[in-house]
Amino acid sequence: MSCKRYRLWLSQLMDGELGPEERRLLGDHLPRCQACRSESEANHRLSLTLQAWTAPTPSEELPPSLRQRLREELAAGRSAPLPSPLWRRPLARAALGFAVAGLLVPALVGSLDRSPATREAEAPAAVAPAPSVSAGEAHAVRYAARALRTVAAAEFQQRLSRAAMVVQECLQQPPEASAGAPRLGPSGDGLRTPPEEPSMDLPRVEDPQQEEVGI
Amino acid sequence: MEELFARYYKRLFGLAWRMVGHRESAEDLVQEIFLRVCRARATFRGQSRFGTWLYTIAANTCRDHLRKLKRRGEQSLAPEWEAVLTDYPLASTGALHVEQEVLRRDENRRIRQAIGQLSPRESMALILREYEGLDYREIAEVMGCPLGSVKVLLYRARQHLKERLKGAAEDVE
Repeated sequence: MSCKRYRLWLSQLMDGELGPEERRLLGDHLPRCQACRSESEANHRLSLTLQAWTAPTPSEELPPSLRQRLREELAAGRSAPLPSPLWRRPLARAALGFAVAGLLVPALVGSLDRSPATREAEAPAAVAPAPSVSAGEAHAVRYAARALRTVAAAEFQQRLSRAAMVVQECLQQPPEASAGAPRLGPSGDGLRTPPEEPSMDLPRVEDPQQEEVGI
Repeated sequence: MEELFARYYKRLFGLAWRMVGHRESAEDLVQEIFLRVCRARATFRGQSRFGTWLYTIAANTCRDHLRKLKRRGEQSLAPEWEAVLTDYPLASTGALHVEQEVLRRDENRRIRQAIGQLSPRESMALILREYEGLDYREIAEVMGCPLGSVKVLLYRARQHLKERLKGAAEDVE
């Protein structure tokens, strides 16, 4: 094994992220390799140097202006419910059913289409392990995924339009006929998932920037 | 929610400051991070720890800020001495302390310069590990990359830093 692998392990060892087997192999290697021992010492010195880079203390713990702005943001978004999970949406379930049918129907048609003689000849193959996914099945699965994504976008638009109509109706009704107070999560801090009952409030538009998690 | 923000403010300020190198920019960045957290809080479903989710938003915000600066052709780090003077006010406690303070600032400057020369991914992985104390699995989750990539990023970051800090020390001598 080359020293490059051991040096990678030295970096992981610094962080306490080296597995027991790698640690054992590294422990066997270090007494025999001066270069890797020097690397280990250099890593240690680097860690001490880096810890000396201290960040300044922020001017305030949580600036009052920021605190106020956050309160406003929280108050503005407090009534917004979470969108329901994809698998619960009726149109999404229909699309999934269609996709499954798309997989099953060709298989069923294929089996019914065979003559009795062909079926007998194929009987031993019926107990063989299931064949790998065919091109048609793979296509059906891809189609289902695409359909689900399209349904999700279309259904969101429909919910938005329905919500707008409901708001309009509420505005036209007398005050005592309108919906009750907005609901909070169990802890009241907006972080927990609110109950899944239908709400009269507009759905919350997710921050698209939150979708990105990669760097 | 306010308590959570107060709890994480200093840590996120440290992260932002190490990424952008200037106190005022870091404070603005932390404000942006918290506002994004407010707007996106409905998407937190408890699948990860709240801190990890928060760091994900913070890392993305820092990344977006650096990209914006790069598009404008601006430097991601403030001019060295300006940043050093404003971020580390010199306490008037005597000559010996002043000398120590100057040495400390110089060391900080060297490290800041060396880390500033790393790639954004390397510097983010290093800062999350060395200064925020996240483990490899958490860093992978925050950065949206495999565990193996985190190991390689940290290894490369350390190799580059050792070369640059060694070179900077030789220049001084």
